[in-house]
Amino acid sequence: MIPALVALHARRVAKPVTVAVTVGVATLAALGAPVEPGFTGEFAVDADGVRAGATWTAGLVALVALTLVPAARIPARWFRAEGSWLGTSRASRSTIVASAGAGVAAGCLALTTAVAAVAAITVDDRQAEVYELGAVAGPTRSIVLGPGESFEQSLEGTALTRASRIRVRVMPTFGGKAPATRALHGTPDRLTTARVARRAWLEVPADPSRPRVAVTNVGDGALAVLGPDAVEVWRPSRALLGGHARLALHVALFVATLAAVALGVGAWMSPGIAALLAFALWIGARTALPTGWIPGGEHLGVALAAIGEGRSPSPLGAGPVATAVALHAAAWGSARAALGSWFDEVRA
Amino acid sequence: MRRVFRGGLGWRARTALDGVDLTVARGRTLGLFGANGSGKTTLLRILAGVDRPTRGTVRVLGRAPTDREVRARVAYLPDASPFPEELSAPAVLDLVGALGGLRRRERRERAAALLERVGLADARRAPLRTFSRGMHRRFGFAHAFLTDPEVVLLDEPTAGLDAPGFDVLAELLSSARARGATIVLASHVASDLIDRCDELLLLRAGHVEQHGTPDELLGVEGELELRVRAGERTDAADLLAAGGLDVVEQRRARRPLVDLYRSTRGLLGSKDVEP
Repeated sequence: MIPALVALHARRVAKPVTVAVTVGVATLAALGAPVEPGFTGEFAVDADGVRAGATWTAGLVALVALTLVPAARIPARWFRAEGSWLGTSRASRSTIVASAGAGVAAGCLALTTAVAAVAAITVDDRQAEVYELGAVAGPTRSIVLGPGESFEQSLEGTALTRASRIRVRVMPTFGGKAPATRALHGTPDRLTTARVARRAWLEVPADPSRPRVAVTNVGDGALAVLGPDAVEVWRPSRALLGGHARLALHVALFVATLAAVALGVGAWMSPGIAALLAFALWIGARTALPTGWIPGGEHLGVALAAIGEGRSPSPLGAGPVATAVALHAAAWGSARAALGSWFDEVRA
Repeated sequence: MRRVFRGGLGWRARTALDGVDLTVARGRTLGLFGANGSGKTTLLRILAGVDRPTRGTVRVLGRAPTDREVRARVAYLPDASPFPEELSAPAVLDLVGALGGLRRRERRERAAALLERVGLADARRAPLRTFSRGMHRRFGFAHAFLTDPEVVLLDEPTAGLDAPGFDVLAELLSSARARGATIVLASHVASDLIDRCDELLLLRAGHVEQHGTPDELLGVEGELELRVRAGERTDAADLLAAGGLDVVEQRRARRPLVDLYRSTRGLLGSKDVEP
């Protein structure tokens, strides 16, 4: 790769005006989010989490909107003008394409870092304990508990400490005498009663000596324990910047991959259409393919939700990274294949 | 060689070059001329390796123009400025030098020297987007001669250029010729073609219409033009007439335009020279 060419393309994706708009959008979202801690029925709302979630969601939308067209426009620049000096250089076409692709990825990473900085700066309570997901358990399908019925989940084999927290996902459902119900939940020696009127998490501290959690429907309505993976164990986390760095990696992987696809598609059609097509391909992939393997799929949604609750996302998994590497290779290959000649009479 | 631009929905295929067959010896300067759309730019692009003929074979320095070794020895300056407009002139030259395989120190030294030579040393901090057309041309010269290419391909090199810029180009071409470089330039300016080229090639609708030396193409059989310097017109005219020659035109001898620039303080910026 040629560092100067990488830097040029990074700068084209992360132009000063793009950085300013992205930071502005993220900051406005942070300022506009509800900042007072609240209490919606039974569960506390983490104000910092809500603010961070809003910042990241708005920043992500800005990133996707602002990076795809510049990335898709790169091949058009080659065909219209820049091929005259790129094409007469000693560097091979593959090197030039790889340098451009790496520059696009670097630009996306820089923009994501700017959003992460805004999100981390707007968090008020830096001393609060941050948790990350340690394990999931529970039935693969939802279970409906009638009045008086119980659900119990063993957590044997799960690493638990006194600082861990366990939570169970529930919601009221049809079949009872009332639209809402009450649930008795917790570990055997720490039972709590909560009113369940909507989809909610029932959360209790863990007891390492008794690795299990139970929920009993003690109201008149029906209670559903929502599967799959209805039970989550959260452990204290030392994630950098309270998990914002991890989320930045999730987001950067997604945006950089989408931009790479836009570049690869842009080698064959106009930049606007290529950007739209890249986005449409992502929507289609989310619908048709296992989303756990797609950059910007299930992992990103879960990570955004975790930040929105004031928790740390899990580290980036191997699945989306592998898919991203494959998509980058395919996109760069597509751009290289379009370079049979540096001049295209249709696009010039 | 033949190059056909493909057609599509709403437009027809167009033949840009057809039956072009020519050889340019090393160290020679070839001038391409012809009406707009006659195929000059297409021919230069193909020689530069950024476009390919639909049919036929092209060899530059004995190999295909797309060959990596050939690319490193060829420079191509297109008609419009193709460089990243967000970068400054030294940054673009640094990038082009890196692509050309020059070491960092070498490309910085060469870039600084060339920018000084083309008169852009004072504009080295400005992004290219702020350059005028003439400055873009001058910068294009710096790019074209950065790596001491053996083949230089110039498309309309004097378009938009001021009078001192003509001198800069002449000096660069002269030094390139001195080291044996082959030059192909397309131009509509007669002085570019007549004064700088060993051979001329007239293209018409993609075909080679005429090919030869300036004298072969433009010389008038049986007529010779003399340039005589004399103090008084009448003296010179009388002398020539007495010798049996026709004086076709008389006018006061004029100095080159660039001399006027040199004698007018401020016109050449930091390169002001006393007359």
